[in-house]
Amino acid sequence: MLSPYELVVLLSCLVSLILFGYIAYEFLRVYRRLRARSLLYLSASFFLLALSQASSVLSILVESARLSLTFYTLTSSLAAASFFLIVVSVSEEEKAVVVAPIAMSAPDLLACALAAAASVTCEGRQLRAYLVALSMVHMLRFLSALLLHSDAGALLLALAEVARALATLPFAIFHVGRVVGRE
Amino acid sequence: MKLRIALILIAVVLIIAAVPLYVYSSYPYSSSEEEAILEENVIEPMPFRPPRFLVGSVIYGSTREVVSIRGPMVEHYDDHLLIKFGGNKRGLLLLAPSYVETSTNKVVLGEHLAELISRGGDLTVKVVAFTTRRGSYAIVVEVVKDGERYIMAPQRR
Repeated sequence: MLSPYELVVLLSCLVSLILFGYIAYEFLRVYRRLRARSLLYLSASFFLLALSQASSVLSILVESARLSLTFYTLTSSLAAASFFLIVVSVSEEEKAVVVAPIAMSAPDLLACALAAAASVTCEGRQLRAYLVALSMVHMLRFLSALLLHSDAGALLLALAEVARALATLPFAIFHVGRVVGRE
Repeated sequence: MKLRIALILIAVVLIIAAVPLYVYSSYPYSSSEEEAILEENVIEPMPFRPPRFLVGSVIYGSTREVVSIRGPMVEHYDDHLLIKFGGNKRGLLLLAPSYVETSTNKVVLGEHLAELISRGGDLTVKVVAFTTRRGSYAIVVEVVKDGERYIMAPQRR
C-alpha cells in the first residue's frame, strides 16, 4: 500500500514521464520531416528524461531498498546524460559560449564539493571551518567562471581570492603553529 | 562523423551506468528483516512511510558486521537498551517483533527476549551491528540460552 507521500511523487513522475515522452515523439516527428540533426539530439534527450522519470517511478515501486536506491541514482544519471546530449547538440558557435565556461568551471565545482565533503569527515573545529571556507571560495570561483564574460565574473574571482587569503592567514598562523608546537 | 557519434554514445552510456552500477555493487548486504527494523527505529517517526530509497540511503552509508556476544553487557537509557559489542563500541539494541524457538517452534515476543538479554547471565546473543551516520544499532538475530535457540521470525510488511 502506497503512502500519500509516495502517491504524490509517483503521480508527479508519471505526469512528467508522459509529457517528456510526448515532447520526444513530437521532436522525432519534426526531425523526420526536416532532417535537422539537432532535433534528433533533442528528441533523444527528452526520451532520456522520460526514461529518468520511469526510473523514478521504479524507485518508489520496488520493495528492495538496494534496487530502489539504484533506481534513485539512475534517475539523476539519465537526466545528466540527457543534458549532456543537449550540450553536444548545439552548434560550434553556441558551444564556445555554453560549453567552454562549463568545462572551465567544472573543476571548481568538483573542488567545492570535495572540500565540503572533507570538512564533514575531518576532525578539528578550525580545520573544518577552514575547509568550509575553501569550499565557498571554489563556489565563488565556479560562479565567476560562468560570468567571466562580464565585470561581475572578474569581481567574483577577485573576491574569491581575497576570501581564500583571509581564510588561510589565521589558519597558517594559529592552527598550523599549534600543530608544529605540539610536534 | 561516425566516430563523433560513437564517442557521444560511449559517454552517454558511461554517464548513465557508472554511478548506479557502483551503488548497486557496493551496497552492503542486509536482509529484508534487518531493513524493516532499521526503517522502524532509525528513519521513523515520519508523518508517512518512507520511500525505499530513503531506507537504502541509510543502509548504504553504513557498515555492517555480525557479532556474537557471550554474556552481553546491557545498559538502560530512558526507554532504550544499549548493548556493548566489539570492544568499546555501544549500539542501540533493536529486536524484531517476534522470534521463534528452533526446536519447539514456539513464538516469543521481542520484548520477552529484551528482558532476557537485559538480565544478562549465561547467554549468547548474535547481533548484526550497523554503524550509520545516525548512530550505531545492534539488531538481535539470534539468542541462545540454556540450550534454547531463538531466531528472528520472518516479518510481514
